[in-house]
Amino acid sequence: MSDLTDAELLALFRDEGTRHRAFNLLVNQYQRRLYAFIRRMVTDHDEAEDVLQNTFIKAWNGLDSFRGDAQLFSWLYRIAHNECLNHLRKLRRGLFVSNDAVIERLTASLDSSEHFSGDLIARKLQAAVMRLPDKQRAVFTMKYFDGLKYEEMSGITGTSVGALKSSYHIAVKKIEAMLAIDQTK
Amino acid sequence: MRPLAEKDPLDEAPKLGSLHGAPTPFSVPDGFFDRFPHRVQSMAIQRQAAQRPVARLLPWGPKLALAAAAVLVAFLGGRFILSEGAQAPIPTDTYALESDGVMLGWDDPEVLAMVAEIPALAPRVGEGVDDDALATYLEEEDLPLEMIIEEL
Repeated sequence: MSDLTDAELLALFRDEGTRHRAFNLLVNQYQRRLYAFIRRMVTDHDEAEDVLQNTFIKAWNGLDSFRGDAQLFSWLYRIAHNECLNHLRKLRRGLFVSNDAVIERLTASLDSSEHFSGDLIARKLQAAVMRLPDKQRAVFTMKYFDGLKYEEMSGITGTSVGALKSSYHIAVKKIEAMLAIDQTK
Repeated sequence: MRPLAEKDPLDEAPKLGSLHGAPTPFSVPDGFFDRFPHRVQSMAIQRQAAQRPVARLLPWGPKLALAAAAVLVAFLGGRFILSEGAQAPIPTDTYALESDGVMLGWDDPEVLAMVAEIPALAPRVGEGVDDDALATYLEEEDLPLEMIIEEL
């Protein structure tokens, strides 16, 4: 079945008789893209699943008040982005450890995960991405992996386009430097 | 020269540039995306059902409490004003005779019997009183003039 437009999905959702079907279609339509972003942010599959679940539950609760002044995907992406940052914040608070320790833990899950099929260079790239601060990692992931426009990213993150461009430039430089260091080892 | 923000930073990052567009290295368990929509939907419904009783009270709770408090204040205030501003009505059978700590009314048979035993009053108890008899009584009793006028 082809994807429905936002207006069609919302119309179905607001009708009590088709609400459940509409939500099912919505999840089917956006789950892979959102999962990819979340997985890049938290690395571990189980944690990504939790965050994705919370994202869609919040969407279920908030869809009635969705005004439609942004694209549905941007709205969902924004929820996912916030959920990722909250999840990582809680992770640090719960573990009572430094940022580095959390990064080590998340990076280590790459090696232990049966759901990581990348080669050595893909692993190095993800390990480098994990070393970025959370917000910068989100910016880098949106731009580099998901190919979002700065304007879209601005709507999602609530940050100005200029600040996002600067953040992405810095992130690229950091990762390039980290990859170069790894190559010399 | 273009400002920093206008350049594509990947132009200056050959390693990262060469990896751009590579397939995602992440995978999911078999059938994950087939099961996920149903699972997340049932969870959303469950959580909503669990929150519903609280959510139903939340929008009305403060308003109800405020309304109840206002009614209570108005009721108590009204009672206070009424009790301060007006005397309680005096019953027609005002208690006027006290005997062994028991208050009795004028129309009580015990009181009437006691009054009948007083010689001066005996002939008058239970009789109609005409004006002449009353004037004689008042004169005999040597009551003050104001009271006589009042009684007449």
